Amino acid sequence: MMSRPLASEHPTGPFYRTLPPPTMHEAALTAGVRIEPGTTYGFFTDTTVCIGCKSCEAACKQWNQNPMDDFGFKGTSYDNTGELSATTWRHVAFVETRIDTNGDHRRDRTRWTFMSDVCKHCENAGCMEACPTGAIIRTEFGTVLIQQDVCNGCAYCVPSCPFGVITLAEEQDRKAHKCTLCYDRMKVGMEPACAKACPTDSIQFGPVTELRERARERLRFLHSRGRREAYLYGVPDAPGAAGGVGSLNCFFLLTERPEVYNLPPLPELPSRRAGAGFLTATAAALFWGAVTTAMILAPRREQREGGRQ
Amino acid sequence: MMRTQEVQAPSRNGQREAPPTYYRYPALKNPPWRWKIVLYFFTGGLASGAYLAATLADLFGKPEDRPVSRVGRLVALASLAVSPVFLISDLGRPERFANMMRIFKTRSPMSLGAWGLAAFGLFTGAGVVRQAVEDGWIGSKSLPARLLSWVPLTVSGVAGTLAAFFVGSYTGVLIGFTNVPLWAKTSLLQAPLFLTSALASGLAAISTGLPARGEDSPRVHTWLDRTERMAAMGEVALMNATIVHAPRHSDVLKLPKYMVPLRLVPLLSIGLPFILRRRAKRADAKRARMFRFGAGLSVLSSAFIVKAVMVLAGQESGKRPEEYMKSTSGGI
Repeated sequence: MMSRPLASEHPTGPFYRTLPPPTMHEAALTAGVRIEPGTTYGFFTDTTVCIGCKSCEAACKQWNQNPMDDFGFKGTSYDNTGELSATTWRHVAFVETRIDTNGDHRRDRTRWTFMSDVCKHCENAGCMEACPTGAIIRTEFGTVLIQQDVCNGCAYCVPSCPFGVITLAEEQDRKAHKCTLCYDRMKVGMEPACAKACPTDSIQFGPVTELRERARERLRFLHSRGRREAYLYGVPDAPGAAGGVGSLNCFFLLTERPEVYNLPPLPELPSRRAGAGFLTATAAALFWGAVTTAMILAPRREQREGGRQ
Repeated sequence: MMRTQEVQAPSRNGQREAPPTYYRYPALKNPPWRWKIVLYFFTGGLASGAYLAATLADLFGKPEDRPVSRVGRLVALASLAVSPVFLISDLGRPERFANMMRIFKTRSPMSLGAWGLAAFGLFTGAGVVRQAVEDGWIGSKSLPARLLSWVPLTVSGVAGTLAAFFVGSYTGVLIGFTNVPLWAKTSLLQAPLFLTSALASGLAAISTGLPARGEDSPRVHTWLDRTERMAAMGEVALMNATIVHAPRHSDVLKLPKYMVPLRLVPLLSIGLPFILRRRAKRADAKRARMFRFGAGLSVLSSAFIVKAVMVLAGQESGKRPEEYMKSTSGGI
């Protein structure tokens, strides 16, 4: 039996990086991938097989030891979680779609579409660009991670995320939190908790390039079976991968318009606006500098009047 | 007003009706920025405007403009003393403010702002020391005076002016560098608006402070008032441009709690100061001081309203998923 060193016994210092990580490659057994630094990993979330069991939410909460949310009823649907937050890193949306039967209201039905939402770990992450402390980094697994010992809770990442994912834990430690793609699990070769818990493989974990292939294959299959409304969100040249955000490491197969899941159809990377913003700022500075200087240098009315007297 | 693009085909049972957004829950998260950030933006702008007027008066002014430099530098010092307090105390972890100084990141307006504020603090301090030496508060042989004598006025003045312009305007770039519909879609107007209202408030604070120290002369007030009026007019123009442009993406500014204060801005920044200053010219010294004080306060309150409305209304627009979805369907 292989024994893993305790954190306190684990070697530190300059030679630490040269040692192999204490890994057992569990993910090879559960997800069919060996987790190696240098490869970009993500999730493919296929909403057509999601049954809304919320196993992913529960597994995420449990592994990451996140506190429970407000235990109340939202009054809008069976989804009482509502949204991703600093303490909810997986959220299953319950989209209720009314099926209208052209006047025969006795046969009207409501059908559910589920979608397990998560941090997209964007190729170009708005939160990471905004962070003034460098707390938000790109890890060796291609994921976006908040270093909790660096974050100072300035909250600038919060409005910079085009998907409303990253949030300040205002009632807990007042720092920014979001999905880490289970960085601690990946470090030791384990598949992220939500993907491992998912009973229908709606959440699939793996290298992004491989997942995209799998997703396109799945899409072709669905289209061939007449589900023409299915499309991918977040892969290159698809909705969600726009406006400088690039592709999303955690992407989705959807059947409704993106807005229905509160996903922007064409998200924008905020940094795209910074250059023009600083340009207009410079123009305004030049203008007001010139105006103020001109006013200081200009002959003054009282002086002229004084001269006449 | 939703996008009406329909991508899904009718299902076998007939027409499907999906809700427009996810039960109208916010699609974006808002930063918890409230009054402290408004006050930070306001005092930072005030400091930058006052420093700009003081330094430009020192560089290009006549001997009679000396009091402008003195009052301006003191106003800049005073508001810059409180400004970072608001900023730091609004952090989730104020004790970790120094983490902003562990990197210099050109990609992040917040990082640039932290460094810009630090640099501006340095120049404001240097300006006050220069003033103190000129006024004989500290000896010309003292260490700070000798250190400063190595730096020519033009060098520190020009560098300080650049830092002041940066501090007065970057907050507008910062809020535009987000996904909040109101901020993002009026991002080109925000930096000029913030800088212009900063200049107006700085000039107003100086012309309010001058009589208090009994150092004013009508000649000085001529250019101060003229420049301030121009800045106030610029502020109103940029604000109106924001009001006109914003509804293409966000209707929040139409709410009375934002529209009523905004409608007061032209009155407070141009109308009332104009009347009060005209009366000040004809009144005796004591009443003139009162009128000038009222005029200055009026301009300052208009600058405060502009920043408060932009910060708070932006947060409200971030809570409206339909506006966010509309704003992300392309184009600034």
